[in-house]
Amino acid sequence: MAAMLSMSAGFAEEWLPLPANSPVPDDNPQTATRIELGKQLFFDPRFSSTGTVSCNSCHNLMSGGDDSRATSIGVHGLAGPRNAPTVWNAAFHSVQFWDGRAASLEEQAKGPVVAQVEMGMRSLDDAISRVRRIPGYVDQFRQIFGGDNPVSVDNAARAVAAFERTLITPGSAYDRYVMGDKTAMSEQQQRGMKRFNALGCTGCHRPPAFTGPWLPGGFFVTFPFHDSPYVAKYKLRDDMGREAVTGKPEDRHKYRVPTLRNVALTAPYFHNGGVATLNEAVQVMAASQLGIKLDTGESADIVAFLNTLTGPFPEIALPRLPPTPGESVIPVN
Amino acid sequence: MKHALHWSLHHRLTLLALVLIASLAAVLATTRISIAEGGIAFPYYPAFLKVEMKAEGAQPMPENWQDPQICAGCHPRQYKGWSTSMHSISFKDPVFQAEWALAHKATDGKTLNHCGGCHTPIGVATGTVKFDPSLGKHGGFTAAPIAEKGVSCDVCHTISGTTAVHTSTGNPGNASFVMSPGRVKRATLKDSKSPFHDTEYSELHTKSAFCANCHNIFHPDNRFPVEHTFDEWKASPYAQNGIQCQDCHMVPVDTAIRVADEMKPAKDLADHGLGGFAGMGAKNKRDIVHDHGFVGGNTVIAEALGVKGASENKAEALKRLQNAAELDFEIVPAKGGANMLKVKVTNKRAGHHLPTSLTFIRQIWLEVHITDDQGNELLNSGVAKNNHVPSDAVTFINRSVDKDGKPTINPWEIANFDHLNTIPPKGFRYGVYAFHLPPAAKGFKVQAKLHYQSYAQGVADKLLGEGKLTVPTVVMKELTRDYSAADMKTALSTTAKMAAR
Repeated sequence: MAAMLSMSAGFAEEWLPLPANSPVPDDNPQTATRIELGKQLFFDPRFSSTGTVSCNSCHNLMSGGDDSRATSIGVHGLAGPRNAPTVWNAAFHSVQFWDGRAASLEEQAKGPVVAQVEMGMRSLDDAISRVRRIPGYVDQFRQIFGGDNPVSVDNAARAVAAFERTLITPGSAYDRYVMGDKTAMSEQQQRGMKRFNALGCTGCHRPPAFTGPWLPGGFFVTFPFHDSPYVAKYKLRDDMGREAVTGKPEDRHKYRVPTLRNVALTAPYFHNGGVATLNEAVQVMAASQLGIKLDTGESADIVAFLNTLTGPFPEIALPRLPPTPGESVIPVN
Repeated sequence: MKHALHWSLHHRLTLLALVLIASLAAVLATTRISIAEGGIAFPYYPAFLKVEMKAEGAQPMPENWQDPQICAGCHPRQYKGWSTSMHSISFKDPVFQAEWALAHKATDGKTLNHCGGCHTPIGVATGTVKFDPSLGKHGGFTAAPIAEKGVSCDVCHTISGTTAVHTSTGNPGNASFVMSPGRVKRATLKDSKSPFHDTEYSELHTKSAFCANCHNIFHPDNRFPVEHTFDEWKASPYAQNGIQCQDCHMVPVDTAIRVADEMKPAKDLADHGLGGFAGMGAKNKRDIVHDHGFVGGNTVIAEALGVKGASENKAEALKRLQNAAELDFEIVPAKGGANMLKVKVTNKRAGHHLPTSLTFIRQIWLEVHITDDQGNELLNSGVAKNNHVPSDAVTFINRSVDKDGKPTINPWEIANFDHLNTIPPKGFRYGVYAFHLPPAAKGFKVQAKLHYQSYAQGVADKLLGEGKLTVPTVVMKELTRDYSAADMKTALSTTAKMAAR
């Protein structure tokens, strides 16, 4: 049961709690073996060119699901242009990456492996041929997927995506509050929640995941929309956003709306990771998207509310990775 | 000889023409594309709807139109208004569904696009409307979820033009509009900017000519104008004063009252108080932000369906009904005590006839009582029985008949109105009654009420089943006046003197 709060303005008339499960596509069912295989692949650095970078390197599940850096460091110390989005609750996004260039978690999982500044493999075939040399993986792929070619790029992506669909955090203070536990949020946090809605933040960051509404092709918004001194200060318009994917001028500076679940744990902020603190991020959003300036009390209320969207995180034990006794799949030089 | 040749050629040409017509008909039957007068192809004929897809050759799909929930994020006020409006239930309305089902069965499906073109433009465009005989009393229709939301945000805001001049009457109506779904949303602001969608100014959206494309309906075969709200407006002082549909139906009722009293478009009213932000996060305050509740006179269905916020829309509708008309009495005494009461009903504040649209099933009627000071009832007329308007009532409606002149209220059978009695904008009509004043009476009281029902109780019973819906009766206006018998005598002698002169 979602709590209904009366609001003078704003979209969120219904404050929904995060569901206990994330949406699952028909062609990739959530089986225990798939999830376990995906978990191993997620933590395995052997599918990066140097054997140093795994998914978890930039999407650290022992923390906020990101790497606490402005932009991530990949193989050979190379840095990409964008901030690593959290993998927690990524399953609730209708499209993946800042610019929405992947339509699903399955599609997304293939990207970083061959990004030269991330995991740096020459091709997905190179990556999958390393998997094929690890008997413990081959057995699992066979059992799970069967068929003539069980160890495939697509199946690896399916396994990783299945694991990622378990990385969700229902039961936060906000969730408990809207399910009826009125002690779960402080007065300031409740005030922040009303403000968050009344100002219009919920127009894009919608409950329950506080991301954009689920649209098959993705929900994209211009950022920054209004001019403000922050644009120059934080170089907010240096990145062309989705235009770089579609080539359409109308997609300039358009981004997928990121989830605000666990946002308190994912500093620094925005596509370029240019803003160091959550309070400043709230001010930047107010100026850039709403064309307003918040006073100190207002932004503090909103930050207090955003903190209610943190966790809880499921226990995750690091998996044993299938070995290749007597040799390594990483080339010696 | 020459003559004979001429005849034979003529015959051959006729034969050729017949063959051509027959083959054309065969083509039309197989491709389901019909060509209306003027040679323009209308893929959804008899709806004059067209859809322009951005990608060449693309077929309209439900996902090409956005769900109102998406729009609600930045436009909560407009969303809230729309969600309580008849536009949001134009497809689901069970009264409409039942009428549509009856028409569907009676016309072998010809009314699917004819009615659907306006009631679910997306359903017709995407071909997702399906008849299901198991629904309701007479059958009903389903469509893609977005299409079931009726005249939703993205129906109106993707409209890029009209096909009005190409309809079979050359007038707007029968869904004579073009939808161009996509990122461009069209409306009345010239410099608007959105972080989500593209924007385009549309002059059409500022005019009655926009609304006209659905609020004007003619019979697809005999072309009889069954509903003519736009035509009524066009011939009215409102049109002459530049007042558009939007000036009354997209503003609060108090503003609509001022528009009708001052006879000025809403924007020209002093201190109209309609300013505000068109969307969340907008920087510029706009002179007018339009309401999207499209309030008219329907106080029934939204509430019956349990639509959230329906009571607010209903309150607005009631206030509109209660301010639309005015009553006055005129008593013409006659010798011998046979007096005439004329109840004058003026359409004071509606920019179309009272009633409008389905003028043959809506009910506006007078209930009149005359009692003398001794407590005798001298006259009663129009007292509803079991919510039915009695046959003795003076009603202000049109009487519809079929091609043979037989009364019918089935829209698909209507070929004519043989009696017109709706009240034009700023115009009036009389209800006339005769009564005798007993010699002992020193005075009498006249009471009149103007009643409104969105449709006759019999229509609701027929469409939904008896006992399913009690059609509410709204008292639009009431007037009571006391008269003394002495006044009547004076009036009588004045009349007599005037007559003698």
